[in-house]
Amino acid sequence: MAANSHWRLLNQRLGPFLGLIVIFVIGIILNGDTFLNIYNQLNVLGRVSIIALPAVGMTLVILTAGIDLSVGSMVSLASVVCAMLLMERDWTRATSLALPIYFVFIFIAGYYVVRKATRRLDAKKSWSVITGIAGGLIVAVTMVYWTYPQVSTGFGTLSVLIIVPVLGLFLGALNGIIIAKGKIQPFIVTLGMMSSAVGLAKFIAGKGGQIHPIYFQSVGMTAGGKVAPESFDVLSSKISLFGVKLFPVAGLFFLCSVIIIYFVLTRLKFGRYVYAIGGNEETARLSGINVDRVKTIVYAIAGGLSALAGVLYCSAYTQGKADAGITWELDAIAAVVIGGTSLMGGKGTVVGTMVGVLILGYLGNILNLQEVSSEVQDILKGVIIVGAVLLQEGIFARWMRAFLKKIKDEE
Amino acid sequence: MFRKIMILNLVFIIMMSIIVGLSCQKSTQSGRYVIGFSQVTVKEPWRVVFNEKLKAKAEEYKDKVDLIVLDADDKTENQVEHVKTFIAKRVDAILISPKEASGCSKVIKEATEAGIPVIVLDRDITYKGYAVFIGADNRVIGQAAGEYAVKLLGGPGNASGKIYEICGALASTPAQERRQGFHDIVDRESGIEILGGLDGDWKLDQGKAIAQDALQVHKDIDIIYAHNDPMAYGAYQAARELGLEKQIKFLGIDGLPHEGCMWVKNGILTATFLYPTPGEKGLEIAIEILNGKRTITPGEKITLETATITSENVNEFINE
Repeated sequence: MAANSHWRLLNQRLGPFLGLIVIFVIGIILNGDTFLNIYNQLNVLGRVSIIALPAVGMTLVILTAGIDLSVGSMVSLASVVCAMLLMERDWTRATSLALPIYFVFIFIAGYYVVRKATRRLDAKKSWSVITGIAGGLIVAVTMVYWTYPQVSTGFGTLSVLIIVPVLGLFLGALNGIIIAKGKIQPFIVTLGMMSSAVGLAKFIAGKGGQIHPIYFQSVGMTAGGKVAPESFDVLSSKISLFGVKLFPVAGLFFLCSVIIIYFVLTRLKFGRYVYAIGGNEETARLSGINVDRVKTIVYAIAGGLSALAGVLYCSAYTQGKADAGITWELDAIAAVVIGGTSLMGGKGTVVGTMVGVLILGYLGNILNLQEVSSEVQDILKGVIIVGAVLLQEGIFARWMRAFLKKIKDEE
Repeated sequence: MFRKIMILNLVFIIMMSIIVGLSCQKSTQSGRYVIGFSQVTVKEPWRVVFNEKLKAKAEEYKDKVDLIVLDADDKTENQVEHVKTFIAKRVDAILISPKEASGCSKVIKEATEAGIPVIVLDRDITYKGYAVFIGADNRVIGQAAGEYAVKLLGGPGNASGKIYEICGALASTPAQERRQGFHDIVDRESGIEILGGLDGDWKLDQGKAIAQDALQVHKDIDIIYAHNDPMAYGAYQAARELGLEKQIKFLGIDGLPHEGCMWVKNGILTATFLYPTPGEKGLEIAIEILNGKRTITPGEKITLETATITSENVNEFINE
């Protein structure tokens, strides 16, 4: 039986990588140079990077044996808010939603940081609260001073890169708090959020969910003189060295998120808590882990990363719209599952998810290069998801062993 | 033992992939043009007809042209992916019917800069450096419908009556333009009252639901104008439930052979206004450009003509 578990482990760890290699080899065989050339490779990586961010967040959620159906809607909402912040020169619905949440968040963050810092100096812990509030207020006011004038001039790249993910963090945390405190199944809570976030996106966009185009000066797409800052276009460009395009900027976000989450999961106490909750929530609770807090943070991260994906979407497709991230939650779950993370929680890695995302990306790319119609692509995607899980559960290995044993017996 | 299985596994997988690879490999002959087409979705009947007509046209040129038709499943990301794939494959020309005005602009610029002529079909985009845009003008179609409605109600100057309007998805430009064009003409007539203007999202069932509610309140409607044929047909169904179908005239837009035209032929709709598919024209122009018979003037626009389809001329459009 030890051999069996050995096999399982091997399959779970290596299965996704093996799958990636196979897909890559198939790609080379089918399309040769067209597939391998740097243009195509960067194109796959660039596209995949945006969808990868919700998948990375989803990995954490699924590790706690939860699920987050709202990530796609968060992408939509974030894209609408981001596009409006960049293009509008007035106080709009987008600003009324995003800015208050942003300021409250900054205040809370400032409060915690200052309080933590002053706690050591304070033996009685009486004035650390006051200094915390004061510190938080100072930080928040500073940020208001920096951000508020941008309402009338259009927001800068750095501002949207902070404000929009904070909105995602907030809505994600809302998911987490309701799940943890209300003791409701994550499926239901995030299903509700999925509907509400899309509705909110449509409401904010106005006119029943119109599209908000983003224009840049450099690409000659001006409309009424309003343009987004050129630096925003950089988010969807490629880093080049000596005139050779090397890596998409969106890919950096993807890579950084994977590295950070990998570090969190393997090196920090928080990561062990995540696995512990996924393994057995009751045991985790009894052993003193603050389960509610861990869950809230996990869903907040998923929301934040999805909103970040929404910002990158805006840059890549020069628009924000309420159906931007439609069905992305399913792609994210698929990538996580292909990457070897168990939906039962407690088992899996974020590196697996990265590989899962790449497998799906290359699959789509190869099928497009082969001119396979979208319905066949959907069928194949489904087969690969189920096949990958079968492989990881060691069923093929069991068949193989039975087959080899038979041969041996016949000998 | 385990290593053996592992190796066996790998060998098997690699062999399978080679077999699959060899059996799928396609050879492109030289001296032929490869033209890629990205269609946003085939869930709408209009786009199905669009693709059919385009493919039929490509069949005429089959000794010269290989047409690749990809369906984006209603997603901008997929369309961008399609165009990037076309660039990677170095096709000779790209046809695209984009989902919306802004989403594909960047990648179309990329293709244009890579020296591939891009022909934008049906919906104009924000980037104006493409080779040609071909599409019908929804506002003109709306005006044609307005003129016809005025004629039905007594002619310009002395027309009078009530028109109920059922709109397509109001967030979309086609619906806004079809509404605008119709109002351009009808608002001039002081005797005509336009009611409604609710969003039926292009769908038959929603058109029916809106008409059901409206006909409870207004039993004296003369004309129901819907932004597409299925909604007009839905309105007809609602009127028939109330026994009002004889006294109301129904106007639709699109004029697809198996939808609007059939309904006109069967006397359900009084008239429908052709929203022509731009595929055939697009392919012809692409071939002209590739043959050097046409010089590219970036941002050029070609508007396709509409036609009023009534019971008198409907057979021409069905036999087409």
